[in-house]
Amino acid sequence: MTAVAENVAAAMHRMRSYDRVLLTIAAVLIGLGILFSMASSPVATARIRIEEAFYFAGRQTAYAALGIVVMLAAAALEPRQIRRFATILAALFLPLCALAAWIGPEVKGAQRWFDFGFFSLQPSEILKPALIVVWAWMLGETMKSPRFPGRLVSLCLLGLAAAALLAQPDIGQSALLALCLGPMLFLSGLALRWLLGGAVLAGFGAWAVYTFYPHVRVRIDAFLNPEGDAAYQVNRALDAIAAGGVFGRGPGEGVIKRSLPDAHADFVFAVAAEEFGLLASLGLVLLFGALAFRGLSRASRLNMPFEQLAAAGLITLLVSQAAIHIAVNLSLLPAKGMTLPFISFGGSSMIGSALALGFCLSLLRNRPGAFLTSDSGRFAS
Amino acid sequence: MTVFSADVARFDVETPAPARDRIRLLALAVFALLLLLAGRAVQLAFSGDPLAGPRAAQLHGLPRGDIVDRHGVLLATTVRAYALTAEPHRVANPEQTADRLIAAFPTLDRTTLVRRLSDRSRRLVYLQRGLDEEQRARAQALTLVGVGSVAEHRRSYPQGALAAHALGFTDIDLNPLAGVERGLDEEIRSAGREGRTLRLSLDVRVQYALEAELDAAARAANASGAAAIILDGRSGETLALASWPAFDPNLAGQAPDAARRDRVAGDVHELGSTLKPFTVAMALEEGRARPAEVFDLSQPLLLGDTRIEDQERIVGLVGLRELLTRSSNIGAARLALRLGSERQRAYLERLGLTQASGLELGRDQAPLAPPVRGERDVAGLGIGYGLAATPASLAGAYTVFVNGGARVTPTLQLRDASAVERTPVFSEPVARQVLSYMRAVVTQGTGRAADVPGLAVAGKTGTAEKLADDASYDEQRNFSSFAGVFPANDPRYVIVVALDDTRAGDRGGVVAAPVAGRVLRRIAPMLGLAVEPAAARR
Repeated sequence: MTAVAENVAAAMHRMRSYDRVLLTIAAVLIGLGILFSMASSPVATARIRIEEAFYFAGRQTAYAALGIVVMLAAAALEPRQIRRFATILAALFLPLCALAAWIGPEVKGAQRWFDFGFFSLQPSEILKPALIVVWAWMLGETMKSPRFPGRLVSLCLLGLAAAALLAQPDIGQSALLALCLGPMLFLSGLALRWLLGGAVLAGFGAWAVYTFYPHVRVRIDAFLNPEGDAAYQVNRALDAIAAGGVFGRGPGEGVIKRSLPDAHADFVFAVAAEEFGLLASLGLVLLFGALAFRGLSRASRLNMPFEQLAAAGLITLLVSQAAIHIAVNLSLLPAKGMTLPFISFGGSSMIGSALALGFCLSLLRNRPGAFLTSDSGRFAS
Repeated sequence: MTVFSADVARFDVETPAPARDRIRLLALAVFALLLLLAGRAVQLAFSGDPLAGPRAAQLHGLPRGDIVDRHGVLLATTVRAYALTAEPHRVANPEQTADRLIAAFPTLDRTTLVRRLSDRSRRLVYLQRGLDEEQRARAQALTLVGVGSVAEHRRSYPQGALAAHALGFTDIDLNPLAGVERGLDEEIRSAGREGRTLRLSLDVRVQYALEAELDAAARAANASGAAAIILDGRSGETLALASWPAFDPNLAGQAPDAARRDRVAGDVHELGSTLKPFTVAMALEEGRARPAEVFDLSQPLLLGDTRIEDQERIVGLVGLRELLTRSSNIGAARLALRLGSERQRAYLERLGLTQASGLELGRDQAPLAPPVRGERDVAGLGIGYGLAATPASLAGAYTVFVNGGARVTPTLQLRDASAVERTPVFSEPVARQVLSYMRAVVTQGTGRAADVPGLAVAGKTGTAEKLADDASYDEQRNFSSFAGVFPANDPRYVIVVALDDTRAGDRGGVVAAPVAGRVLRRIAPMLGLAVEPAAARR
């Protein structure tokens, strides 16, 4: 009995060391995911002719429970264990991504999934947080000993991952990975001029090719939009957000969501905005802003380069994924299937996001010597 | 590699990782991005509801505009349709063409098809009208030489049978045939041209409740027809108007005449006792009776060879209140005789009972009010015989109890509060006095079944014997009705329910009043009125 009590006490002690703000944000995000799935589930099930209107809401709740378990399990690891575990995951899921492109079932013109009947796995969702931890390891080693070719290794890993993802094809996830590696390279001390120069060059090159070669443009347009009707989807999303106005139509009152394909996944932001108005749209932006602020400000005080890079990279992953999802919904980016972390329907997405935030909780928890000031209680708030 | 800055050398575990300032820069970039998203979300939120406008713009220049209820629910609209046509001179083999068409459209008649396809005197013949997109595609897939399609418009009623008699219908060429389609034809056409919608005063929620209850009651009573109307008595706006049997205006051509017939403003009946409150009010207004007066109604009234008696003999002295609660024919006839023919006629005219109701329907039947000849007719009018009017006219007359003695003409359109025309008929004290009698009818008289606890319904039942073919009254066939006002403490709404051809025992209080009660219980919350919950069964 005492052993159990000791274990519980140790677990409670550990729980108290996590950053409460991050924990709260995670809880609110998961709760909102369930709430918004109530709005999107009936239309999504009606579209694909599932009898039970709240099928997706039920599954989302189950995924949320799974996500909490995964997050707490990931948070229970020490930074060194995180590095090891993430490396194993990356080594496992990078080939799986390529394999999915090879043998996975084709859904809406892309092969991104493994179908296990009751559960379909999208390996790229798990690969993302694992890869970022590996990058942090590599770049951290380079910071400690400049002769270590961490940057080269990171870029090669990005190349491999992008190749596997582009074969699926999944241009959105490839772009997201590049979008995360950029800031990590920058944090690892790469001169800004290199980074900016590279970004400008890549952007200009892409623009030039797109503009001056009509046949390339046709391909890119088709590539950006393999599912067709992207303009239709985005226009419906804009209608939904505009219809929501300031206060929204009210829970369950959404109308335009019915003509939104993928209302429960890639356009959940628009569904939420139609029913809950600015309260939902600004609230979600604010939540991810708070996640960025709290995560990055704590990461900035970490002492170990690996920990700092990993935490900042994972926060960047979550926030930029959310930003891309919201930007697509707001028609600021071309329509790309990108889930909203914790909120969009999807088991793989939930597990990936839970892993990322779980790692962050562990890396950013209060522990002696981890942070810049000895008075670590200052951050406990 | 020159990319490494000198501070890498300074790094060790004791000093912080060097990326602190760079993380701040990263955070700034992230916040700038999120701010952009927030700004865009705010911009969209204030850009207005896209569903509010564009549909009207789309509908610009249509032959007929949309009809909506008072809350904007779509009741009638114009949709794209196609006519299946053929050019006979290009059809080589009419029989073969007809067979292939019938294979795709089994409802077509072969003889007619062959006749039309062979009619070379015409350049173009119509084979079938009102095809939808999918049917046209099916016809085109047949790739028959000489067979084509022409785009046209079709009128569609998305609510099906709901409010069918109020809406009416059009023929295949969109010519209006009945209902507001006909009564407001000009407005509907101009609304179509300008991309507007025509808003009616109907409320589909009230309409549905009224139709459902009327349907159940008419079936239970084995009636040949039924009619009901609910007015906002202060503005005259019609909230619901129902006729039974009902029909689906989308399939109006297949409905029997009896179903298409509007019985609210299209059919006149001798109304019977529902006119008695007016007789009492006239007598009070003219000083021919006093509220405190008592009558001996035990003896039948003999006028020439006509004998007026009561359903149940009333023994003892009774006042005006009991005259109404027990629906005394003798009493009402005696009051009418005290008034005299001329005054009675003037009041009936001001009550709108000698003219059409004013509802904007295809057929708004004027009452049959033959000239009054002698005492017998005056007494008859006093108890509701000798004047055949529509339930709509009766409802219009009952608005006097809502507006302190002034009548408001019923309408199916929304009416500005300032545009309401009030025709004074009775003084306010008289209207209030008679209203209190009608409340007594519902609490203790023949109309008890109409009462809804908490709602204070006031009203009067009516049972008129129907004229038989030989112009005598048939005791076996009744026209049972209830006309009421609610809530009596602050009168606002008028309801008239009438069932035609009910059996001898089915008097207004037994057949029509319960319908009114059930309807009112259902619609009171929609009108913002409180009712007490139904008592638990013991």
